[in-house]
Amino acid sequence: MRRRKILEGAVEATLFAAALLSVVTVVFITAFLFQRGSPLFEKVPVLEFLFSSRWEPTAENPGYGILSFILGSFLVTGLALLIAVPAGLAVGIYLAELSDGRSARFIRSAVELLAGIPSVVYGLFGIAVISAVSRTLFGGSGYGALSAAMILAIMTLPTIISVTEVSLRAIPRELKEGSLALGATHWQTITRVLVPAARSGILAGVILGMGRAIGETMAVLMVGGNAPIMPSGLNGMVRTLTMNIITDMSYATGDHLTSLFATGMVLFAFILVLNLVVQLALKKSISDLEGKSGE
Amino acid sequence: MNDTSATRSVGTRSVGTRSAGTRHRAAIGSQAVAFTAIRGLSILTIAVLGLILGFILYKGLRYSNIDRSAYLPYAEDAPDGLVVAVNSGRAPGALDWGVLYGMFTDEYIDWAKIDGSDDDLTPIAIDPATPEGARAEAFLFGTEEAGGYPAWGGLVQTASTSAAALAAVAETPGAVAIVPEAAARGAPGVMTLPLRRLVLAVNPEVAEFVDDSYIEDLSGRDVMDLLSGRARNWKEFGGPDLAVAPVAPPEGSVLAAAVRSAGLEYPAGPGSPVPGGGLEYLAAIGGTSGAAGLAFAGDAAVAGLPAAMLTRRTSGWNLTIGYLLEAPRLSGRTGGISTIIANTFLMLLLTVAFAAPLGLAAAVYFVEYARQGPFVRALRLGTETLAGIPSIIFGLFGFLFFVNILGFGFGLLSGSLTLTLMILPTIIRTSEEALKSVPRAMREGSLALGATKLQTVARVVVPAAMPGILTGLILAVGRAVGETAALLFTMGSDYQLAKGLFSSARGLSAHVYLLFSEGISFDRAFSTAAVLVFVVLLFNFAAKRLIGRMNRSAAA
Amino acid sequence: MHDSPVKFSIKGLDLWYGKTQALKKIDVDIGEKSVTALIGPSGCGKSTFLRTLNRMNDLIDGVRIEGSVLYEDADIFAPGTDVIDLRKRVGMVFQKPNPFPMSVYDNVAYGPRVHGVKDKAALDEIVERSLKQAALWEEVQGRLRSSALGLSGGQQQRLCIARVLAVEPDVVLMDEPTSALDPISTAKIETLLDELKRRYTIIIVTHNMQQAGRISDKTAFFLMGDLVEYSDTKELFFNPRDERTENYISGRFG
Repeated sequence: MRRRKILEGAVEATLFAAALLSVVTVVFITAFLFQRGSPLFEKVPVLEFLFSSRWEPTAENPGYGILSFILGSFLVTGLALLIAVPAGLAVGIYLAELSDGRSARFIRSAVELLAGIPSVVYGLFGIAVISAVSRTLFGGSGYGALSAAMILAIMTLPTIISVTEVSLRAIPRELKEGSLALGATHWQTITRVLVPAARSGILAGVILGMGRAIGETMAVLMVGGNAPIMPSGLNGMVRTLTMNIITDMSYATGDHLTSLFATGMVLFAFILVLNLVVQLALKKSISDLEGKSGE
Repeated sequence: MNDTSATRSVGTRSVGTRSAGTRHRAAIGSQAVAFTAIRGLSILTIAVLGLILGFILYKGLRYSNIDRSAYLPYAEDAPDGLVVAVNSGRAPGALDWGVLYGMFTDEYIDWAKIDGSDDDLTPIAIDPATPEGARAEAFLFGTEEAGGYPAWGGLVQTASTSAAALAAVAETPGAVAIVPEAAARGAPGVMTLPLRRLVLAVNPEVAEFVDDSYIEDLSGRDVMDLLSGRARNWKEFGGPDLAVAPVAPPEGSVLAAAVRSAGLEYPAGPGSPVPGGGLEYLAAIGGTSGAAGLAFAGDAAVAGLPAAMLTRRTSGWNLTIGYLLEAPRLSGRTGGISTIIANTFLMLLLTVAFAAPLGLAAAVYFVEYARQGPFVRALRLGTETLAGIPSIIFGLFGFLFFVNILGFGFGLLSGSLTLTLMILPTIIRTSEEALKSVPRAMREGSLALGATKLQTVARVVVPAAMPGILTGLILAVGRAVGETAALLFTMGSDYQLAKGLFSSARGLSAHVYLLFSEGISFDRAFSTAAVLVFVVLLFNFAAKRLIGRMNRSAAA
Repeated sequence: MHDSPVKFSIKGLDLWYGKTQALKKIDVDIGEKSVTALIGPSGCGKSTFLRTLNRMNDLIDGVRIEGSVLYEDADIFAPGTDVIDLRKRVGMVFQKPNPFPMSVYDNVAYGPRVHGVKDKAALDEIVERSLKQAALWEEVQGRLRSSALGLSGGQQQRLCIARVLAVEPDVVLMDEPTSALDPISTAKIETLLDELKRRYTIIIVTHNMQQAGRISDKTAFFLMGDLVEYSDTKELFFNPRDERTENYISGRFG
């Protein structure tokens, strides 16, 4: 019995260590990024780093300002959400409310596949098709914020669709039946009862998608134009935080390399904030549902 | 609100009914519009997916490009009674005149840009002092009376006779020689390549920049129109405002015969042949405003006549069995992707070996052992956070931690460990779901038999949850296979087969990116992407099958 | 009142789920090699009581227990009690058949295996004996290697009984073992119980009073966490001492 106790204890400790690994990794990532990135601020003030758009890391008088990349990231992500949210909502509503079993299964597998396609493949598709479409529709070189946003929209669509569907399906039946019984049409029920009831879940999905979009590297790198300048409008060439890291990573040394880790810190901070918001939004949606079923 | 109800109760019954009916119809109408829009968007999503998959797979399987070239597609087997002799081990295919010229003038040092192999180029010339050698020299550089002069490159080796040249060609895989047709016929170990040398020579005025306009690339049809006189003015092709003056080659010349064999007949009329020999013909093109006529590339160059650029569409198989089975050469410019496929699977194997036990162990802890509390909530928050971190950050971390601090260097091990951290949250989450779906009764049944908790988990719960755990694992690996950003600076980019854990290795997705970003080959990027997509689809399909089996066995 | 040696002796047992008290000051002695039936309306505490006897309630969060449960004169809640050993000796059959998703053979061999039996011949022997005791051998001997999930509900429940018998317990706890079964399967299991009580102490929770009457030697009636009455089955059914017992068995509640 003693040996058994020791064995069980040892196994539990091992399992616990495995469960601890994720947190340890997060802590390590934070610590190492900070340790390697923060020395930059001894030479470049934090505010200049964040709010200057002069990125000339290899010049004689180097400039490390990432404002244009921060704006680039948000521009591309915002545009992508502008496309993906309405489309994702529509498809999510279709799956949860309108489709019959077979077509829902078909669309769901299609969406799963869409989520599984590697981002370099999206990038190639972007170069060959999206940039051409964007060139024809909006002019310009075809490599810029709009093309990057279109690719990102396709990439974030699966997240938004599935979260919308799941949130809609999680709503208690009685809510829907109550509205229909009052003589509301199905559409009125969807817009006035179901979507509002599922809104925190949907919001969490949108923020999740936003996190994906901000962190996406390869696809935007291939179609975004990658010019280290302020984006000159919706159709201008754009460089995002992620693109900045991966482009310069292959040759950067010294302060330049440090500045890339600092860029990573900024990106990581944005992601952490978004993650936290998702956690809160999800928690709220769960407690909302519990509150409803408790009534 | 109050108003309407008041109206309704006071007003006559018919009025109330009508307005309610109108409202109802309007509601139904807007519902119809909204539903149609929603269905449309859903179909659009499917269409986009179909477009992406179809496009990638199609572009991966077939290439179809528009090539720019000055040469007409017609190739001669024995131009001027001479042949281009190469080693019989070479791939057959026609050569452009410019390439042949370049081979003997040091423009090329190997065959990579010519036929994709990596043999060194060995141009062999017959001693120009011999009659055979003189013929070949004149063929390549033009005759003295036409203004040509020999410009042999430094790589060129000299052979004393055509027989000696042929013997050298038969021995050397990368050799090329220009020999009389009669000598080459039946020579062992040698084959001949047909040559494209017809171009559309135009008067220099036509090719000039005038008023911001420049002659565009011509299609085969445009050439026919120009020669036959159907096209009247160069403006039609973006060029200067000049009347087209087609000039036909002298009757009975080699050029006329070549033009006839190419199927390009000059009609009678404006394009009447110039009397005299080839030199007069070229002089006529050079001297006539707006003139155009077919010529051999070498002659046109010697005469200083510009050649119009032509476009033609080429297509063929992009993804071949050979591409899958051969090792890449020259940064992937030639060869296949066999080592890259192998590296990808090695990487996945390692990743699964690390991630599966770790993920399962963490999931077992969360489901079977963890008690609710702030500490476990922190652990869960960590897992959720890890899931949201973008791959580029993992790349930075892997570069810092595995590559530099732990000193693993760029290689399979660093890459796999980075991937492990990335897919860990997915594996934990799906394994947790699978473990939770094992009924409580199973656990109680086992515990009631006196099994310990560990025995219960290891022998009953985990086996029962195995299909779900495997499904999650396959899906996670399917994601990992497409990862690029995290691997570029952890796994390295050596396209040879990895020799060990610390050996730099390139996977499929990195290959796709590097083929594109290093400007090596767009076509090859697509065919590699098609293989990558196929692998991803395979993993998805496997996961679907497993889920299907699970559902069936649950129903049984 | 005790016509056989005491197996379980319960004194002043209180049990709380969080703030709800599920068992109130239970005092009862259970004799060996007999069938004891626990009856009462849903939520009366009879299942909770049953699960206390092999400490299955330990698995539920927030359970608090006071009082003592003596199994063969040793308190099962004393610190240092080996729960694993207790459960090995006090087996349990659940309301819904819960065979493991493995073969018939592996289901029965599971218990002996986790207790260290590795010898193939010994396992074969145990499996055959247990299946015969559970009156299932005839039906499954040809398909020992196929999945237990392919058996009928009645067969699955007898398999679960065989699984318990394979670890050679001393006591078998049964939590409404026939409530999810058809009448024919129920009859088979009842016959089986009659066989088993010669060798095992059986404590069975049942909703079905006829069943309690048919199979048990003694019956305990629970109501809202109280043990209202405990006596010989015939006595309890035909001559209840407590008014609440009379009301229950004559069908006035539950």
